[in-house]
Amino acid sequence: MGKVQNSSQEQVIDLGIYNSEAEAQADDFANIPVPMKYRHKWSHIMFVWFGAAMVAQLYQAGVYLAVGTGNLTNAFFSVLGGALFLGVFVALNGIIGQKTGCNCALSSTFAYGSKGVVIPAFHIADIGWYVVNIAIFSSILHEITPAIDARVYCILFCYLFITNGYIGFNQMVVLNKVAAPILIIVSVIGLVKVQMMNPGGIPALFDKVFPTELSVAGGITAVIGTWSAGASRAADYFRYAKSKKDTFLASLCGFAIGFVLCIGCGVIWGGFSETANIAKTLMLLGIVILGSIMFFVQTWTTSEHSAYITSTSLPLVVQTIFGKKLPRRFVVLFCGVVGIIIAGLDIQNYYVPFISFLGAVIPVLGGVVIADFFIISHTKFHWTGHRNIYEMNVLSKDLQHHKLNIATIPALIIGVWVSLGIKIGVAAINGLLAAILVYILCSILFFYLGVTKREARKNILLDQ
Amino acid sequence: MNLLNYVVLILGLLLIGVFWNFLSPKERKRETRIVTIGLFILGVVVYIIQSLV
Repeated sequence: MGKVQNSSQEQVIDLGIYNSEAEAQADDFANIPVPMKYRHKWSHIMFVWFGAAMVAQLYQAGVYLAVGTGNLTNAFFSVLGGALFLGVFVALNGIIGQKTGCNCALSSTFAYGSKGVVIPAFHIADIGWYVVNIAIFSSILHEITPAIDARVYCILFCYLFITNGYIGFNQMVVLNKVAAPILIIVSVIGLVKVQMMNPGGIPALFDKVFPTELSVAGGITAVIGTWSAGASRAADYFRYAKSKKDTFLASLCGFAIGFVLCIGCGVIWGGFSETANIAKTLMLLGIVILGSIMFFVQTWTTSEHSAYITSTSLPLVVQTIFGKKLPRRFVVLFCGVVGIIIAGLDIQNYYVPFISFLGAVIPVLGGVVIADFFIISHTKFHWTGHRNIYEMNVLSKDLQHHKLNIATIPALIIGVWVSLGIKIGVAAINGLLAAILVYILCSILFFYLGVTKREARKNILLDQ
Repeated sequence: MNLLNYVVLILGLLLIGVFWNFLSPKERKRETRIVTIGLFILGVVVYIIQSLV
């Protein structure tokens, strides 16, 4: 384990815990920054994000918003507000990944510390999403084929959808390239059907009124919740980007378009069907077979994404706490096992409370990292005593000897309290801003209390 | 209906297991075989328990 000199590009690659570049690449660079020579063009990353952004559950969220917010205008306000927040959130987190070359769990080391990184890394485990995705898809199939129990589908798909997890990142791109065209075709067909079948076409849908269960602000938070966890982990994919410009392009063309397309379609479909049940919606539209194929491919790509994310973050938690290296494929297997056990327990019924909770809480975790990267790291108040710490290698002793940033604790507590407790405005934005503000204030406060000085002393001792 | 569910479940678990063993690299064949047998048993047991509850 050590360094490798890449003479053609004059880049020294710190291999960290790996014995060779090949080993690091096989592990998808889970524990080290991605070397520049292994990074991809923006179009490659865009395809991954386009596929990852388009999830079956967005259609579910869309049909629910159409009916739950009272009318389609409110629903679209919720979609656009949420998409704007998520697009910016993806880009900001993506830039951090592109700059450091590290996945989200690893790049959180700069803000949280080499031991404190277990806080964001643990939440990042996407096992919950893996289970919910498959539970929703299984319930759709059960509506279409009532003779077969949804639990059978849950067990089979939780097993099948971790297949690619044993192979790695490149295969996910291939799957996403197939999923994207299918989705676009089915979405367009669905919209055309609504236009033809609804008296007055799509515009007439905006005149419909439903009982209001969710305010626009609540709708925005729910929309944010559909992708906040994924957006906070944008670094996992954008660490493969070559530049900030590539990150923006991929965020805009990949994530934003894919996301709005899906959830917007769901809103239109839901407005037509007048039900929040996606399976019934497909039946009413007469696109059951096509829709099932689309959901099958989409759920597979998204589940691969969820298992992949878990497999990049959970090993870091294990390594930090127990000092043991955990192979990624066993983490993927663990996702499958958990899914098999609990997906059949009607988890899909908790979808809306689940995404509302995520929408309120996850931005808080990301807010700390954003504040650290874009603001505090350029000042003398950074908890490690370093300035421009993101220029350093995440594996360097000069960073690793800083264990826990205590300024993150009050920022997280107050951020979560604000997002869940304050009912005015959008919970996700409230929580994010509160976390950023408290983190900045605590960093400054701890600097003047001498906490930063203690950390900085470690740097001096290292130099001696 | 219950019999159909078991048939679909068992056939599905078997097919996926065969698929995995076909795809598995040579050096991990033994591990894959153990894992697929384990997941087969787990799948059936979980379904039985969830059906009873």
